[in-house]
Amino acid sequence: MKIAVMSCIHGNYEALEAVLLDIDRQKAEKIYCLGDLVGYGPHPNAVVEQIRSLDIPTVQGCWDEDIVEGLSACDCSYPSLLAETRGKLAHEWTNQEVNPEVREYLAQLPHTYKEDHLCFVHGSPSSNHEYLLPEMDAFTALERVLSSDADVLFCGHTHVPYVRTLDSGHLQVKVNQPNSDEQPAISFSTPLKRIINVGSVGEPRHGRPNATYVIYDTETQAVSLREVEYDYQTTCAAILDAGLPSIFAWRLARGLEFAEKADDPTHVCER
Amino acid sequence: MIIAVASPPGAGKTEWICQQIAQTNKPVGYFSPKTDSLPIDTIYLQSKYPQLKIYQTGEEAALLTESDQTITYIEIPWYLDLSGIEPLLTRLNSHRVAIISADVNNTEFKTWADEVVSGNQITKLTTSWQIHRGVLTGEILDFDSLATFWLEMTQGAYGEVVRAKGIFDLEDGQIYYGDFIPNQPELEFKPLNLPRWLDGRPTRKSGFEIVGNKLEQAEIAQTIKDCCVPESAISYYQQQVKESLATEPEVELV
Repeated sequence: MKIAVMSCIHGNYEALEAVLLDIDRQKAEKIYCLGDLVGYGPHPNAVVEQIRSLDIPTVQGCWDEDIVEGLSACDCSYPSLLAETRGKLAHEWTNQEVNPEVREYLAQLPHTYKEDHLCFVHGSPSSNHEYLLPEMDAFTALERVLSSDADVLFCGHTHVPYVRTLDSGHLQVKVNQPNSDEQPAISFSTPLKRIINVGSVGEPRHGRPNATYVIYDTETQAVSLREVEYDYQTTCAAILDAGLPSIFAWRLARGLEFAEKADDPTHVCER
Repeated sequence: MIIAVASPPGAGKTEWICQQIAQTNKPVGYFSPKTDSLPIDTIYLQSKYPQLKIYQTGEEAALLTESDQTITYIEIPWYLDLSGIEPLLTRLNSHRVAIISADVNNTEFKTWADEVVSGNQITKLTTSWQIHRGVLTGEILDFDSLATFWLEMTQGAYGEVVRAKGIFDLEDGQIYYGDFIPNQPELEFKPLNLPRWLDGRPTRKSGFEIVGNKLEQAEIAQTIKDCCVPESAISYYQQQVKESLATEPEVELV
């Protein structure tokens, strides 16, 4: 069965519509969404209503959570003071814009969604603020997939799509005990696992304005990273009309989105 | 000897002067008229050559009296009218050097100069260029924010930019130099060889200068403001840097 997985729409209705059309053309039988339906973009309500009306299984992204619970990320989630100021502006605007039904919908979204051997998360199984970056060390990456009890972990949050295959390996854990020469060891083999980052529909960060998402074949395990052109100028105009900072439109048009980004990819906010 | 240097923006006056200073053993002086409020090039050169004698506006007479022992460069900002500074240059009997891109036939500079030196390829100067200057003395900026702003600015987010340069006090206590000329290899911000400032707001001069077309000056000012470390965080950052420097192991070169 062909499934489509998308993430990080960020209130960009034009991009969402283009991706839904492409999914239809690809004849995917089911769609999943990895959250961040709102934030930065000018149409948070329309995006949520569309996802909801299509009954798409969706997990909660960090932006969705922040709209429900208030800003919860600590300062270190932002790469700079400037990004923090802009992120807070976007949050405040979105917070005022979303209607009660949308807020209610975002509040009831789960952090993870599992179906058979597939797991869907926004950031990681540990936190929707955590970045599973492609260069993350293999042991930590494997731990994240194993903790989800799935073979394939779909995530978003970085806005840059990638597929990472973690080959089956043999792990051995030894425990040093004081006053003892014995080193009890536990060893086990790990099956092949995969992390599939589906990129971003509405706020790409790969240097082009095009929306990205993934088509996955559950039978062949084939992954297709899709890049979809859309009329981003309409979204840019809507950003300006909404009174959002013009720099959001400028960056969107260049695929230069920058959201929060922890220096330490395994950083989990404790605030 | 007094050498007056002029060029369109970004052609390479300061860099040429820098090269000349490096090649001489004689005492060297430097004067850049009308830049006292934001002496970006002066601070850059001074950081490279601490022994450089700097002349301020009002000290023009000293240029002449000391010209026997010193080679003094007068860097003429591109926005100064050459005819306006002519009486001074005549009085000083200065040698005139124009830095011009090889593909530009700039008769004004060629007529004015005693010597023409080939400079950077630059965007053709037109009357529509604006100059936007921001004095940041007393402000401390966040490096990553500044890098974001600089990328946006040089890529045209705030209007078409043909030249930008600046000196910025950053949270690590160092003062950094940034320089942008279209079509030239992009220069990373580099710390200048000047003492770290780790005691409150710096009183030394800093700021930026952007030359371009349709510059969104209010947007630029607001974005730079958003790059500044708030008052409440300055002493915290400075304390962190002090502690970090105190615990850094001394490295002995062998």
